[in-house]
Amino acid sequence: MSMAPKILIIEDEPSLLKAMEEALLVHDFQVATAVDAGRGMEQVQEFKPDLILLDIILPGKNGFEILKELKSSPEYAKIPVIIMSNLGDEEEINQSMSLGAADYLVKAEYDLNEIVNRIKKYLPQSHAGIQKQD
Amino acid sequence: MLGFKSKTKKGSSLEESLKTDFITLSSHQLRTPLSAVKWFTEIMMTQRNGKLNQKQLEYLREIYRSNERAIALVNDLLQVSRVQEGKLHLDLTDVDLKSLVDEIIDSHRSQLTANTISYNFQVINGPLPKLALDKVKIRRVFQNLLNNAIQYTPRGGSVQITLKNSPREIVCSITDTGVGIPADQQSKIFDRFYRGTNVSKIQPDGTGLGLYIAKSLIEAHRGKIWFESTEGEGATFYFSLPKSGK
Repeated sequence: MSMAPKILIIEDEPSLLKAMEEALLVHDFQVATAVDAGRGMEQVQEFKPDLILLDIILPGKNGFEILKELKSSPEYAKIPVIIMSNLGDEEEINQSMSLGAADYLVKAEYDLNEIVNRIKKYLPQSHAGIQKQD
Repeated sequence: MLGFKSKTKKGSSLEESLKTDFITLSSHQLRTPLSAVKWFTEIMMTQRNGKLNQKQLEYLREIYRSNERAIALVNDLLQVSRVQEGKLHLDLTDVDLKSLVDEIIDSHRSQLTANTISYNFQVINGPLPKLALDKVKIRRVFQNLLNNAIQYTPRGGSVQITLKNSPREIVCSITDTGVGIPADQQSKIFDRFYRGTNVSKIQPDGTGLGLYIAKSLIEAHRGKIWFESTEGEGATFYFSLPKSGK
């Protein structure tokens, strides 16, 4: 039997983090959180997520730098990363996609349910079909 | 704060750069609390954390709707700022306009049915060639025009959409049997923040930015946008997209 997919959320805004965490837990995902790059990279190693939700504006290293680091690591390059930001300029979107993000979502434009569905889309095949809700 | 952004804009002055950063920052700062309101309202409406009575649910839906309006307004203002700064960037890909219109009609089907508005979509001189367009922006134009057509057409009316293929361009038209535009207001309707007197009564929440944004986006594709209307009889909005691309 497969384990529930593991999602790491790297987000520095506590209220958004709390809402996302609750939505994912309700859908039976395993969830880990981090509010900055340092803790985020530690969680990548310890928690070994199947997918990462990554904010761009973070204290210290920003989301682009984290994404670059992940994609240049042979160990973590295959983890799908969905950028979740409220910056919605094409510059940021293009930069994220060219750095290897799986998708870019402007937070204010997506319901939590839509975010959950987007996560399911990018989960590795080994987890496909696990989450049947909605 | 946004020092990580590597700006490579040619000849951009410090003032322009600061202004851009200000807008980017404002969008982020406004959207963040709006996202929190949106998501927590959504969580409460699921009633997973306790059952709500009808009044509480009704008020939550009002909060959600008002918040969605605020998000739409922030998005519109950002789009306007980009237009004004000449910062509108087109991400061109080959777009099949017929599929795009099918998709947009599909997403408005429940709204059309709820308002008992009949609709028809026709392609003239098809099949249409794909055009190099920014799909997101052209979708936005269609949505703005179709939303207007639906909002300002009384129940039982009709909306007709056509795509006409001609040698140099594709002309799109959206015709409604709605309230129309009074003759003395027709020269102003593409102005920023302008709202017609009759439509303001029907839809008091509008921002007066939809048509201004549509015009900017079509002109960025080197197309044209125009309309014909008689008050009380409806309106037809047209826009052309040249085949030569940008």
